[in-house]
Amino acid sequence: MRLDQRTIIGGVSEVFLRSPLRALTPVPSPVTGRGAPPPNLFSLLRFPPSPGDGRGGQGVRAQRCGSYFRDTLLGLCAALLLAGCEREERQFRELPAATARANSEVLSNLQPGPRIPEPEVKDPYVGNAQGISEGQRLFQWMNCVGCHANGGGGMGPPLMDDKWIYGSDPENVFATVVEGRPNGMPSYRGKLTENQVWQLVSYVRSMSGMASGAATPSRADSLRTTGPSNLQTAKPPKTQQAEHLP
Amino acid sequence: MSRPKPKPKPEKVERDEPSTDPYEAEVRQLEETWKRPPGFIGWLSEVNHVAIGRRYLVTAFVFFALGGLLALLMRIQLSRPENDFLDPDLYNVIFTMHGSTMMFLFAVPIMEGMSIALVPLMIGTRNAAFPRLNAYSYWVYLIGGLLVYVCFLFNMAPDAGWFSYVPLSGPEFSPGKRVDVWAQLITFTEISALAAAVGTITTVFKQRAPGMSLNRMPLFVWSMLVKAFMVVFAMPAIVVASSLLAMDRLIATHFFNPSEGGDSLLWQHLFWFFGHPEVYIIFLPATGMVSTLVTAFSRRRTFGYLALVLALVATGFIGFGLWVHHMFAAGLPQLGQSFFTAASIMIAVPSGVQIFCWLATIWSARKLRLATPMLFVLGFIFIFVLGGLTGVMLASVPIDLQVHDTFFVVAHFHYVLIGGAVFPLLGALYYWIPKLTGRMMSERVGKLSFWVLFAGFNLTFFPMHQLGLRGMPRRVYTYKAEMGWGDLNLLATLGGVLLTVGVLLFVGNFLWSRRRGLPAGDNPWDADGLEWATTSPPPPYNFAWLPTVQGRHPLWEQTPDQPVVVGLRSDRREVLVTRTLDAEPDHREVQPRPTLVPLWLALATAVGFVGVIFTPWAIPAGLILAGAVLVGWFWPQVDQDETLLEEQP
Amino acid sequence: MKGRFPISRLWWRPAMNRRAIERRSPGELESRLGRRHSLARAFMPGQSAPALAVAFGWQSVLDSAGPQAARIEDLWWVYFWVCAAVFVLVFLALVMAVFRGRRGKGDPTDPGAPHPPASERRLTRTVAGATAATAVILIGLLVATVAASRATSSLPGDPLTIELTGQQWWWQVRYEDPTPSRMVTTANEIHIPVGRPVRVKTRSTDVIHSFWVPNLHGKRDLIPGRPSEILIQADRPGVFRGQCAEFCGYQHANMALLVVAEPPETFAAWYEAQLQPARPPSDALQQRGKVVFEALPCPLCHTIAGTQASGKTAPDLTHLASRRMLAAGTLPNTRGHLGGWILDPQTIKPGNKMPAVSLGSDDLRALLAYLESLR
Repeated sequence: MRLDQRTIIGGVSEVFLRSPLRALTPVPSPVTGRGAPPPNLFSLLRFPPSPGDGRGGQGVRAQRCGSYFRDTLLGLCAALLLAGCEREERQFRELPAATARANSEVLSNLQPGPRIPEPEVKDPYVGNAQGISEGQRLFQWMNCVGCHANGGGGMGPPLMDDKWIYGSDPENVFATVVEGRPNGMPSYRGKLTENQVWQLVSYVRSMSGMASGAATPSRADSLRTTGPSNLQTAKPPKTQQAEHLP
Repeated sequence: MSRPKPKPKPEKVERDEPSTDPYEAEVRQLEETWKRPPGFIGWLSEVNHVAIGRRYLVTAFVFFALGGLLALLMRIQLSRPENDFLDPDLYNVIFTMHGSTMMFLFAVPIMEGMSIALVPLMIGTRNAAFPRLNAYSYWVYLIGGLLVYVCFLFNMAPDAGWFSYVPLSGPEFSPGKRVDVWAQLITFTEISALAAAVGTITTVFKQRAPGMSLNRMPLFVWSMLVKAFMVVFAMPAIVVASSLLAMDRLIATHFFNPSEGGDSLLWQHLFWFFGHPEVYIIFLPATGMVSTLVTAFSRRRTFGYLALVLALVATGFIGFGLWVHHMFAAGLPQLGQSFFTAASIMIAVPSGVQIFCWLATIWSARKLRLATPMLFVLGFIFIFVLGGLTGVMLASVPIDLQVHDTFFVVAHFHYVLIGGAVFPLLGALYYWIPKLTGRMMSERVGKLSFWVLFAGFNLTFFPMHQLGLRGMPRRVYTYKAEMGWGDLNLLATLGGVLLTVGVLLFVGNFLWSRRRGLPAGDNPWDADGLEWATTSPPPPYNFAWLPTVQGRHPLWEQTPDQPVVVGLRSDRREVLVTRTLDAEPDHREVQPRPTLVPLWLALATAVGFVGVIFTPWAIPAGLILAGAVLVGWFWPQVDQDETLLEEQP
Repeated sequence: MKGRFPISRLWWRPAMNRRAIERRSPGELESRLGRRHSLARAFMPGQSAPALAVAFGWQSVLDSAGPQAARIEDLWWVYFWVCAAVFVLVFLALVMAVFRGRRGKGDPTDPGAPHPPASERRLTRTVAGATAATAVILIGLLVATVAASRATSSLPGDPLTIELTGQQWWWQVRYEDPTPSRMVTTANEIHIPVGRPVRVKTRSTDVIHSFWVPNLHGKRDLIPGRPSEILIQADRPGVFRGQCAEFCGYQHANMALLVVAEPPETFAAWYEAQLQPARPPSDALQQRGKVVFEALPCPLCHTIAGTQASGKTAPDLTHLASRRMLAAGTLPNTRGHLGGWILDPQTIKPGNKMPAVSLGSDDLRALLAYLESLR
């Protein structure tokens, strides 16, 4: 049997969301014959009474309130669970090959027959701490620092400000890395795997506060001149559409 | 057991007086004054030391079970080469959680629990000093433990080891919030331990029963006192370390970043300056328990009381001078290493003195009773001597360079921590649980559980010595079949299963005793300590009349006309404060009533420390909340005002 | 080594006696090792029987192959026997104390009464004597330790200098030479001449690792920002396995290296071979493999001297085929393992920094042919 993080989480959320509530459903007491257990903190979490329970009016409304409260609480838990899991997920295996498309060379947009819809390309590392951290490493390894410094810019434009010549969406940055851009940005098509590019994209975006601060590392263990990356305020791009496009 | 049971004083008084006597009225009044408010809110506002100590013990034992479960998962993963039961990510999380749980959520807190529950009883006072601080320390500890286990469910549990060496635990190599959670867990534990230690020191110094001068103090109390002082001096180092780590990770400071002038070795110094005394913080209370049990079951005065006390104090001092032996492989200057080698070897002397004194006590016993607690003590001596000897080996730089960070070290510290602390602890629980619950645990199951634990322990950890010598490093999630480590690992895993059975037997015995155990009576072991001079379980005010003490073994040495203390008001929570050295009565002190303030303060602390994982603004928010709660905490109470008025000339 | 008893060998050593193995022929050994020892069998080609045999005591602290490890092994046995004796004495004392205590002496109904002073004095003397004996033994052990420390920290002779850089989760090895063109860079395999001290300068570029080859010497941490060095020496030829000994992340378990101790002449020949640039492809398949390699993301991280590939963040592949193991001691260096490693490194070593590349089977075959030719 293989036990990984996912099954543990799955198992736990199941326990969390179902069994204790079932267990708290009112059970007729053999002594009094009454259904209501003594009130306690958890009574707010009880399921609404079944029809024919013999209670009405005030009781039902209270129950409904309780159920809203319960739903909100459970929703909050689930959201936390998802957010936490997404951020902390360590994705070692690559994406399936089916999505490895954007990185492949497209010679022409012309094709026979009806137009095939472009597969939707999505950054798999949005809000994922491991992905952003790997991007940070690749930023050093691929010598992006050579031109962009640690985000402050040099030979290449700065990456920590609010100016995005070729767009700030993950897909835009992805295209910039893969295609290269005039005036010196080389193309990394075929030099990096698709996942690596996405990791770089999430890191580059985090430099100007466009990734969740909770997922962004504050710094790398190297010389830096910039402020903590995880505390950057989001700098919405000024130029969404490129005016300088050749 | 032919000796007549010493009766608590009040009963004698009762016999002399008619049934509507002032004594009964006074006891009723005491009960009224010291009982906690009813209901759930009352439960939350508890400040009585026995109740808080009990909560500590139960909570710590739950974490012990969880930590043990994690260990079992690791053992399953390692039971055969190239196993894929756990992936490396989860394995790292699990071994980190195991270490952190056992050190910070089990070993230290359970000793605090024993101290809070038993010390006031043993020194004959009504309640521990600073009862609200005690309650606060428990809530903070509970929140810290819950935090890390909730994060475990959210895949946010730490994965950089219980030692969290930088740079691996730094912002670059540990992305996400996992290590931040660890740092905050440490912060919670530090605060809780410091609060408990301050309480213990004050209780021991100022609230001993009249006549219990320092040189008559029970050895258990001595060990808790030395432990509390070690906490006070060791914890600040880890406070600094974990704060610096959190700052590096959250606001990009560079304390541990070598390329900006920080130092990655600085972490190790700070961590081990706390980490090594931590071992003695866990071990010294255990020696106190052993001294108590050996004395009680040998039915003679402790042999070498002075030597045992001096050994405790010496261990407390030398324990701060050994931390570098965790860092021999870091390449420090040789002269410095020799110094720390010498210190590490030297600490074997006080431990040896303790062992010899216990052996001498057993040797010259009037009649040695091999009850379950005593079996655990004998098991402790066997295991701890082995662990201590491998410790002497590890103090040697060349040998340490070879076996450091291998399974040899894993074997060594499990021998000294399980053998040196958990075995005495289980013995102590068998011994004192009748006092805390009023019911005896089964002797037959107790003996069985001892033998299963003893066999399981040695089966699990003895092969690890050899694994280490054959080159198996620690913290590996897998190994190759060709390394030839498979058989010994399988053996260790089987031992782990046996160990689990032993712990389950203990838990089962405890649960059974709660319902079916024989009533314990006041002094089931006919022991010497003051805690046996009251009912089991003790009333919330502990003693109707505070006892006085004539020697080191109060119940064994009491005279027929032993005086008791009268004159404490029973309509409010008064305790007797005595002088530090000779325990002469000094003045009366009014203690606060049960209150929710400690819980609120713990929650305010939690807002700050949990929130700071996500935003630095949580610190000011937490400070403001805590400040507001502290206003309530320090708000003058009516009782104290009365005292002031009363003491006007 | 002196001072060891055969019985301890039986117990503390791996089941097979090294000398017995050395006497056997390689073929007999292979059949005897069987399937379980595939790693050892990976050394078979070109390995002499003794070198293979070392694989059995390998990574054992108690199978020394160098002067320092031998010194530590001696010290270990001193400690072992002293501690064993102390343990037996304490255990006997415990048993006797329990028996005497069970029998009892005096009136158990009056536990608070003082003991007769004469017997207390006797006990006090015994305890004081035992304490003094403890102190004396400990001082003796301390002296032995300090002597061994001094003896293991220096080695006579002109050392060969190697810079060892730990990275998550492999080792970069660079042989230093005053002439820059005579520096050799390789990975995860250190060749050293027998009988000559080797100065290993330890560096780390990311987290703390620890260099440890138990057959040769104790460990030394590789701490970023804190360069250090350690001397090692092998006294007999053989392949010695070492493993990272400081927790360094996901693949801490699979960060091994091999130290190959060879006679000086063999070492010199190996060194000269390593100095050469990579062999040019000798047939069309290998030629195609080279093209595939350069078209893939590989060259951005890996170096093959003499080609365009000059990445510095991953192991140097110039003489990949001459190495015994792949992926820092994780897999034997065979064609099948290499292919598997290239296609799916994240299953073999989850979390490591090598990305999977998608590759057609023809391209893969060509790539493997090329990489296998890099001897």
